[in-house]
Order: sequence, then C-alpha cells, then structure tokens
Amino acid sequence: MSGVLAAAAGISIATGFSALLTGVPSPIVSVGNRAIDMTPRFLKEFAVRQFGENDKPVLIGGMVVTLLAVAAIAGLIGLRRPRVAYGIIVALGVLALGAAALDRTATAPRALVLVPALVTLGVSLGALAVLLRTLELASKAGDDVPGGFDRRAFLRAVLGASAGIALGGVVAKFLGQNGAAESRRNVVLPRAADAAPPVAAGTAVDVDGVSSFITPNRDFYRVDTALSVPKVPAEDFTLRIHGMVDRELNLSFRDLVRERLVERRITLTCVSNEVGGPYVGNAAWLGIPVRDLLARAGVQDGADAVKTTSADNMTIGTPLGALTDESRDALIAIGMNGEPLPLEHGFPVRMVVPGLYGYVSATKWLVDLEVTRFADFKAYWTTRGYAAEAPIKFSSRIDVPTSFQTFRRDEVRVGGVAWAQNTGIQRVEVRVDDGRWQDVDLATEDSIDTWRQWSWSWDEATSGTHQLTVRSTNQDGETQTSDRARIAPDGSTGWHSVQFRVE
Amino acid sequence: MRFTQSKILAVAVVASLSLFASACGSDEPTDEETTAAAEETKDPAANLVGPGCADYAQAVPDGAGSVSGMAQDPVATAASNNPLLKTLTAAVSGKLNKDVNLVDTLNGGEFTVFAPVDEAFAKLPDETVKTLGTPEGAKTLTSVLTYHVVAGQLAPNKVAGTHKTVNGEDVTVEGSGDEFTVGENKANVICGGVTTANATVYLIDSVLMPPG
Repeated sequence: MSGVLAAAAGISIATGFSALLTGVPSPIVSVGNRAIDMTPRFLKEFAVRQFGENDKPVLIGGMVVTLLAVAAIAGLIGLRRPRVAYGIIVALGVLALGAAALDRTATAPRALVLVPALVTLGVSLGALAVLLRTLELASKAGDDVPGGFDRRAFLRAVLGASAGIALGGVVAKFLGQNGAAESRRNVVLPRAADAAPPVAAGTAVDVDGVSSFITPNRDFYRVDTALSVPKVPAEDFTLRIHGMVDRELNLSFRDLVRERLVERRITLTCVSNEVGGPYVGNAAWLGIPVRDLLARAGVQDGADAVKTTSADNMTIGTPLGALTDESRDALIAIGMNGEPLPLEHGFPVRMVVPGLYGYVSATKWLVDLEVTRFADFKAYWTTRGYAAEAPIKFSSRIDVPTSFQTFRRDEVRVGGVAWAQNTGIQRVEVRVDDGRWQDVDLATEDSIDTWRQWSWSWDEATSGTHQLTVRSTNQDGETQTSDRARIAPDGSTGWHSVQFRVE
Repeated sequence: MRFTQSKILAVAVVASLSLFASACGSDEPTDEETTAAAEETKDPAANLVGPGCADYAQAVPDGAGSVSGMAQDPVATAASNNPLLKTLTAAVSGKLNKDVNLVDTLNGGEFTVFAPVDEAFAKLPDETVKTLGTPEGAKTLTSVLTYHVVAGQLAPNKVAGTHKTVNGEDVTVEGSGDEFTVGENKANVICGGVTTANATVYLIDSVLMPPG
C-alpha cells in the first residue's frame, strides 16, 4: 500500500506539474507515447482493430494498472527490504525520465520536459521513505507514536499535498482543454471565396444501409498516433513553412483565415483499411490550396518532398508534386463539414490531399511544413514497415447486404460505395455467385475526389444462399485486381464479397 | 495500526483517483476506470471453457494462432493462423471449393463460430470431403459451414440454449461449466470462448450436420 501511495503521489503531483507547463506531457503520457512508437506494427494494427477508437485510453488504463501493481509489490517488499523497494521506484523513475527525454510529442525545451519525471521520482522516493518509516514505527510502538513525530499530522499533510496538487493538475488540465475547445467555439469561419457547389441530386442511392454521402463529423473514422489529442488553441497557432524555399513563411491562424479559401469535398482513406473495411469517409473541407502558399514561399529546385509535422511531433512525408499539381486540390484545411475542425480531427489546422492515404498526406494539428527531399528524411510510418509514397488504391465496398442478410425474393436491392480519388470511378460491376459481371446503377459523380455510391436490384433472384462480389473500374480504364494484398506496406487490394440469403 | 492503514488507503484512493482524472486528458467522454475494467474482460484467456484449453495453450503458447494471438485478427484471419483449424480455414477461404469463400463475410459483423478442428474433419468419410470440394458440393459445403455460425457473440455463460444459425436452422448447445456439447450429434467443445476481433470461437471435435 505504501508503494502504491508513493508512486501515485509522485505521478499525480508530476501530472499536476506537467499540466501547468505547456508542451510538457505527463510521465504517464510520455511512457505511453514511447510505447506507441516502439510497438511493432502488427500489435498496433491489433490495437486499432481490437479497441477501435478506444485504443489509447486502454493503453493508458493498462499502464496505470501495471504501474500501481508494480508499486504495490514495491511497497510490500519495502516492509522487509526497503532497498529493493527504493530500487524499484528508482527504476520506474528512470523509465519515466527516458520516455520523457525521447518523447516526440513534447514541445517544450528538453530540460523542462524532464521536470515531471524528476518530480515523480523525488516525490515517490520521499513519500515511500516517510511512509515506510511511519509503518515501521507504528508496528514497533503499537498505536503510540514516539514523541516528536505526529503521524496523523504527517498523513494529513501528505493527503493535503497530493490532493491539492492533483486538484491543481486537474483544474489546469481542464482549463488547458477548455483552452482549445473554447478557442474552437470562438472560431468563426469565413465563407469560401471558391465554395463547393451544393451536393448534386442523385449522388445518393435509395438503399437503406449504404454509407451516407457526407460522413458526419462524429462518425468520421479516427486513426492516429495521438495518445491524448493535442490541444492547440487557434490563438497560439503558427504554421511555419520553410526548408528549400526562397522565403520562410510564419502564418498565424488569423493569417490563414484571411487567405483565399476554397471548399472541396474529398474522400479520405486510411492505409489500414482492409478490403471491405470501415476507414473511409467523405467530408467537405474548407482550406487554402497548398500550392498557393508554396508559390508564395518560392520552392527551390531539387526539392521533391514536403515533410509536415504535427503539434505532437508526428511526421508525414508527401510528394511535392501532389501539392503543387494544379489539377489536385491539396488543402491546408481549417474547416470540416461547415465547422472548424473537431479537436480529434486536427484543430486548428490539418492537411488534406485527394488521392493519397492519410499516413502520407493528412497531417492533423499541423504546425510545420518543410520543403525538402525524400532522400533527406524518414517519416514516422516509413520507419515502421510502410512505403514512403502511397497513392490510394481505388476500391469498392458492399454496404448492403450485410453478412448473411436475408431478403425477400422480390426485394433484393443492394448497394455500396466505390472510390478512386483524383481519378474518378467509371464503372462498378457486381456478380452473384460465379455468374456474369453486371453493371450496377452508379449514382451521380460529385467529383473525382469523392466516393461514388452504387445500387443494384437482382430482378431474377432465386431462393437460397448467394455470394455478391463487387469490383470497380477507374476513369483510366483500370479494373480492380482480384489479388488479395494486406494493408502493409501500401494498402490492401482484392474484391469485396458478402454472402446473403434469399427467402 | 488499523487506523493508519485505512488512512493510507484513503490517501491512495484519492491519489489514484486524481491520477485517473488527469491521465484522461482528452475531451473524449472516456472513463479510465471503466476502460481498465473493460480491458480486463477483454483478456482473451479470461473466459475460456472446455477440457482442452490447457492442452491448446500448451500446444500453441504464443504467436498468431495462440489464444492471445487470435484475439488480434478478424475471425477468418485468426482461424487461418490456428494450427488446429487447417481444414476449416481451407473450407471457408475457397481452397477446398473455389465456389465457397466466406472470408469477408465472416470478417464483417459479429458472430459466434463453432469451429471443428482438423481431427473433426478427419472423422468424416473421405468420400464426403471429396464431394464437398466439387462444384456440385458447393451448396452443401456452404450449408454445412453456415450451420456453424450464429449471429452475435455468445460468451460461455450465454452459449447454452437453442440458437438460430446463419444457415437458418437451429442449433442447440447443452451443458455448463467446462462441459458443453453442440448439435444433434453432440460435438464436444474442446475449448470455447476464444475471442477474435469480431467473433467468439468454440473449438469442437465433430463437424455439425444441418438437419434435413
């Protein structure tokens, strides 16, 4: 118990400290970030699949439980062998120090970053020493404490100090959080100088269960490495554009809002999306064409890449050509579906590039854009088994039927989505069992950068169990390969199929 | 002494509550304590039932085919990594019969799967297995396989009873504790409650045959 108390007091006080220092993560979060960065790819894929959007809280919860268990053991051992207990606490402290020193998400100077871990160590050791001594004295003297040491007063002091500082930490965290949330509430987005036209009639098919054409913000998939969502108030925000440019630019959020804003509907896709998987979403993005800002900065000869960095130091590499291409609306985005970006989708500023998987283009909490060469850096995922360049592989998905869905014979109506960002979908075909491929009804194309819905009715349906398979053809005339590829290193391939029944 | 300990406990509780509150530094409405508890129930080895679980854990202690390894993948992928389920894997992935491929279907949605091990398939007459691999056998194979799948995940404390399979026919699970049987021919559950990313799996020692 004394071990748990010592570690808990240490960590809570340190977390309070970190909350008071901007850009300094709590030791718990630092160790968690380190764990995420060191986790093998398959485990990370597992975490995303297993816990979905809860993978980060689960990691933190698991670490807290582990830490408290280790601390409890230290406390128990400490009753007999204090040195071992101190050793364990020191080891935990060193782990926290190491994680803090290497934490990519810390934005404060290194010396400051180490403060919470040092505080943890100091407070934990101190608390453990005093508590062990208290217990020792108490056990020797029964309930009579030797004169000169008022145990209850001491305990009250510990209680008071840790509760007080923890409360301070909670309040500071709460305020910090409100800082970004409050800032977001105060943002008023201007109208786009070049707005997206209204969504055309006919972009949605009339089949219940097909994904809505615009994905509401609350339903939009979230796959990122941020253990705690970076809180960046718009007032504190600066986007630095530098590297192989003639003029470095430093733009505040206010500067960005005053730029010529365009609005584009763009379908994003995550490289982790398996065939038939859920990590695809479509939204209207408000932002500044990246090429406008790059033109102003003046890109120098020899550059072929842009390295973007988030507020939590996640790095992403994007081909320069995809950002300067006149025919591709790569955006520095500040709005999503008519709102400022939600905090978990990158508030205040992120990047969105049609046709590239998110891990090579869609930097959230964007703060730094460096014009450079692919040869000169390695982005976060590139060092973890994924390709440096990854255009989205065009694909198609069956939303209806769901697995083993049963239809009445005269009501077999199916549908889904197909996407080929920056190229466009030309054709979608389905087949039942090993029958011939048949053209579906394609919904109206909104733009080549958005997914396209499709529907199909099986008029001559026969009773029994059947398999529906879908494939698409892009505007370049290429048809999806049936070869199954896994998500690593650069995206899955294969035809999606679903078994269903007709009564 | 007793008083001291309860005081220490109180301090520890306060301190760790504050720890939970401050570690939960995101705006998501997530309670760290319930998350930690949820993680416990997610422990893939926590809910296992059946006399064969220990042998299975010993035979496949780690890797993608182990209890914890299978928890990582959607069910068809998980089965493909399990050395006891080679025949079943071939049967659901188009390798036994090219006209029968249930991989995407089983990977999408939530299911309970009664998974006959290789020895279960070995008990079938050679003729039967051969027929299931022919174009004419595709329908039968599909019917047999889907008779092993129930929509929704049934944990061991909910698995006893009669359930409608995705084949349309009912299957009855009997028993309790470590002894369960499945279907008319009373296939024994070797080890059940094995969780995958989207399905709960019960390894069984005989292939179930749909009625009719």
